[in-house]
Amino acid sequence: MRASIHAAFFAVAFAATCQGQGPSIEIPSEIKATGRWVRLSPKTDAVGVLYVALDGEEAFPSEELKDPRRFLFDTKGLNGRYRFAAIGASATGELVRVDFVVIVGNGPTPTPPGPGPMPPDPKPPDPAGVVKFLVVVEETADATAARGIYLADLTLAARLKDKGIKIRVVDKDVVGTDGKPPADVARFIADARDKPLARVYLVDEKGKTIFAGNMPADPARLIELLSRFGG
Amino acid sequence: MNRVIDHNGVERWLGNIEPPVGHIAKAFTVYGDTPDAPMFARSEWPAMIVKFPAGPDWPYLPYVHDQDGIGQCNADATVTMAESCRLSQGLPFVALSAADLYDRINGGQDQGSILEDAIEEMLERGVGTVATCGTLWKRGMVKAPAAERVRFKFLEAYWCPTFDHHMSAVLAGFRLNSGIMWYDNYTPDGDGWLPKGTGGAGGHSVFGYKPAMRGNQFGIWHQNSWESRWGIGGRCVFPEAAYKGQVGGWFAVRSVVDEGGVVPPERSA
Repeated sequence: MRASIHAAFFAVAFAATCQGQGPSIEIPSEIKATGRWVRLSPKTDAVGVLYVALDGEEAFPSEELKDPRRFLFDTKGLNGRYRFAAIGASATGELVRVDFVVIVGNGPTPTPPGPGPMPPDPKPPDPAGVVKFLVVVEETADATAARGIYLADLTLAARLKDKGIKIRVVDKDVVGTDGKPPADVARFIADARDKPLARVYLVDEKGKTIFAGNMPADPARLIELLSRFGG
Repeated sequence: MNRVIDHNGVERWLGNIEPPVGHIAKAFTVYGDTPDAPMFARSEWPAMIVKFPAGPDWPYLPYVHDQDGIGQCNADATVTMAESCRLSQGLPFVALSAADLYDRINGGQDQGSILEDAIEEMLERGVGTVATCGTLWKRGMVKAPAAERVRFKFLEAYWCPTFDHHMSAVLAGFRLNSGIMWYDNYTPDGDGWLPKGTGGAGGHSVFGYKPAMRGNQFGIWHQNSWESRWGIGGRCVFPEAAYKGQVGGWFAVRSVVDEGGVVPPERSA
């Protein structure tokens, strides 16, 4: 997990016990990429700045740079808007967060590679082919690290609500009070057996499975997947 | 203290009581002792927390309960955990009855309850619905049949011995029941954070759902059972400082019985 990469950074920040003035960071709210690399040295009195990718595309690890406050982002192959949270730490352990967006090309949204096999050029969805149910089969024991973040994503939740998509999340071993897998998801649990988990199924209003594949790594990629099927 | 006057001038009840002297605590799995209940180092928290949306919103919050003059905070917090789990599992929303749970753990009178009793009941027998039992406890109330309760059970529950365990659990997507001392100055500020507790205090129990961070301070968002006029739409942040000591326990739950959802069977066109 990327968070662990930065353990040392925050360990230093939190080891400090005395209270001090919080650091300041000045970063434009939007940065337009003009070449392959986006380079930025924010105006800051923080001793270090961690850049957390909010749309899945990571910046170069700042602790590997000569100046651990510098932002370096490779845009090769990207097109869209990529959100970041810059978290600066002062020498006394105070933190500050500043959000900003890197705009690459003209695309309005990130277009990361899909999570698994997808139709190369799906036809415009007809009503029978529009996703209405999102089924996730997971091994709960393996899903915990990313689960909280997935659960909290308001953009994904809003998309599901806006498009009238109902979600079902089940463990691969789930059984109901009758000792059997729940009837509405039994066929997905059977299909997911011996496949990598978590696995996602998109289902139309008639119960037809219109996509099956690996669960995208983050909510932004799941939204992208949904949009390919009218969701 | 078993009640407070809130910032709206409304009398609010608590109801999380300490176990009696000589009480033998029930055994629960300790969060962090099994691989599927992972601990996250404090140094990892900031980078994880910033991926959660700021503010009180969260996609799988049921309605804000109102214990309305009854000491059933613990039962409300516990059934809210179950309601929230059902929403994130994609099961149809069912209003669950805190009254039905409180009825079995309050000794037959409105004297508050112990958190571990509520968790144990939810693991072993479950809870009835508001449609059957109503929302507020009263003596002689309608009891839910066992067949109804068993549809609404916890599948697993963990005890969190420290704030670090509790925070790790919420980062991993668990729902929480936090038993803390509630001080009579506990009015959330503009960001929802509770102040440093002063004055009188009593045991309270609240449903927790999302991590929070402000400056170098960690906290956890909670949804109280004092209806939505209280706090930020019924919600607030417990700062780490509020976790001075367990009052009845801190518990984490991830899932409830799956009775089947609404995905239609595949049919030919």
